[in-house]
Amino acid sequence: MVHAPRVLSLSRELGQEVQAGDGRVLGRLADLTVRLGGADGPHLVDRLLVRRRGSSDLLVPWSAVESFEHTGVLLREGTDLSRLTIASTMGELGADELLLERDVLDTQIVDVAGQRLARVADVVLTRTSDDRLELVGVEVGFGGVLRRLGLERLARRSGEDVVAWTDLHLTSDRGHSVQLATPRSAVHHLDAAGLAALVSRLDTESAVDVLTGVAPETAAGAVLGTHPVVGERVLRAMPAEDASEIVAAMPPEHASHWRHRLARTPRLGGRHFVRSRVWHRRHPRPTPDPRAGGSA
Amino acid sequence: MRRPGKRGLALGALLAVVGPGLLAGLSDDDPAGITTYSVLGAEHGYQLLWVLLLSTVALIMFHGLAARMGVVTGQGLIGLVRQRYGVKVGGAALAALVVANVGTTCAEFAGVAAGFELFGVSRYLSVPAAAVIVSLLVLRGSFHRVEHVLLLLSTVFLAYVISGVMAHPDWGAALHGLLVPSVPGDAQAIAIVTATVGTTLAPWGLSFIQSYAVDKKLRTEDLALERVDVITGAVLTGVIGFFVVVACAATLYRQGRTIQDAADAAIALEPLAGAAAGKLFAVGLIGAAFLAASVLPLSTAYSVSEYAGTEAALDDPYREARPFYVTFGLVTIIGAATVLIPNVPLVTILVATQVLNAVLLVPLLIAMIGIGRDRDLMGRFTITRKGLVAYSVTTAVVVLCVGALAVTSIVG
Repeated sequence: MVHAPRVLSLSRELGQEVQAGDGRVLGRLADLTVRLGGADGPHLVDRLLVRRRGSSDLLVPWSAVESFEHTGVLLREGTDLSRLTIASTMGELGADELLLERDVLDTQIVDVAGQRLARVADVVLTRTSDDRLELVGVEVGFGGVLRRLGLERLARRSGEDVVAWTDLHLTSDRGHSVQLATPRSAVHHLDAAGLAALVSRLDTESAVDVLTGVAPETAAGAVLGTHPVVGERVLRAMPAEDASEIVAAMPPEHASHWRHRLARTPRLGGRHFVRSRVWHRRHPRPTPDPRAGGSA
Repeated sequence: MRRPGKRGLALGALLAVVGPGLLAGLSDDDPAGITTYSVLGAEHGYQLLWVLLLSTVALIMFHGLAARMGVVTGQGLIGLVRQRYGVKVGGAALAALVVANVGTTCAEFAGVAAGFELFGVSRYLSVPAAAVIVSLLVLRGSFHRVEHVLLLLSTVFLAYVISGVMAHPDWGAALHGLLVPSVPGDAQAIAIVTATVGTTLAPWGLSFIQSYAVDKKLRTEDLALERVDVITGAVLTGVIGFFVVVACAATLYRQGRTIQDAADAAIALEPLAGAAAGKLFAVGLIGAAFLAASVLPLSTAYSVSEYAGTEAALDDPYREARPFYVTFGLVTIIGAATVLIPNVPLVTILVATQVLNAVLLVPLLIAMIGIGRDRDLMGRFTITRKGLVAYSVTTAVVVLCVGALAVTSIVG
């Protein structure tokens, strides 16, 4: 038997045939799920979404997988398919469960270590010693895109750019909310400067979720670390009591400045007439908090 | 400070949101658009005005959908197409969009050249100057000021309304043409109908309005006001198109004259509607060209960056946002340089671009409906069943136009 490669790319695994224990072809591999909850340990692939022609999808737990190879997936003999049939993934996924193709591949992420916005070109998985698949990170940049387009040669020239799973925040709707709800996610381990950089890159509603989800002191440091235009936009978008709690947690001179700033009626509702101040990304300011200061 | 009254607040909130729809709509009335409307009026009189009415309705619907998708997902159109349909479909859409956008930028600079030549300024002076001014204004990071200038500039479109009135049109016939659809069966008429749809509802306009709404960080509670913005922009676009057609129908069509482009129309208008009407037409042409030439390279650069996944912001240094700056530079340079090459078949390029825009529109509209129907992406803003019917019917009409064009050009 050929030994399976240790590192796998999601895009190469999707679409392969899934066979039942008796060798019957069931359908094709459409997606993999990972649960982000749990206090520690690796993020292992939990279930397989199998798309069948002319009948409902299957959501197969990893325990029913006999072998997962690049040439095909074989399920264990005696797997009861009727119990795995689902009408749609909606309502079937666990609260901390993500679909890697739907919620991660080709979506935008914020690389919180490199402080940049990027789009996922591929999801990187490794095979563990007990033959499970572990989610380790995502490949970003153009190299992965070229490879998926079949332009291997060009892809080799552009190199690989991988972001570790512990260093990223997903911006897809489900990815964002699942990561916010799981304490292990990167977003819960950022200092004020890191949060400021994240908030500057997220849309307003997601930024509000992030800041209201952390301690007011941390949120206050993050607001002071962003450009005032960004800070004001986000504070104005959140419920008044949350905003005043964050402002109260600021050092007194900043707090009075921000109270004054938020009390006045903003010109044009805080949104500007045309695309003014918009083509520009607002760079975070050096944070006044010395512990969080300094960049890598 | 005095608290503004209720009416003041409502107006303030509206002014805050206005922008994406207005600029995206108005820059659809670019020189290519004005040329198409002029030819429509000069060759078919008032008969095809209903096409403009339909285009305006389609513009309201799809610009509204694009703005909504941008606000709800926080992503631009090409980025969403890649996320929803994968790298291959996204790549194909991007490639077609870039080619069409380069052609359209070329049309904008041709408009600058033609407009200034009417006032005796050589294109070898006006086009490079326009390219440099546009690049400096946009790239030197003062786009927020540029936008005020652009919106002010767009008031030159009033020039068309005035020249339309000065041409003393037959208002009854115009109203009849607007409300009662009829199609001359020849290939030329079908081509101009398709071009009109393709120039009013342009693919780059759709991607622009969406990126714009994303970058303006509009929120879902702004959507109702954003709708007002989109409708205002689309209706103004339609009204301006209407007056251009009417001006040409009342003069050139009645005299049996044909024209090649909008500059011809400006010259031809002078003896028929007065020198002022022709001059106003030319001023409108230059303003429209500048507006669109500022927006197109930027919109293309954003689409490329969205697809590649690299960050794109004007204050990023070159090494961090290379695809963004390279795209902006190439689109501007190719667009401007093409106009300056002697004996270049400009008319062929412009017509081919418009046809490409119309053809590209079909898969793009279908992709937009697919994304709009995706509950995972749109949540509670997913297109309803009733909405789906309306969007599908509009797309079907565009498909019909493009199909008819393909058939007539193969048969003819």
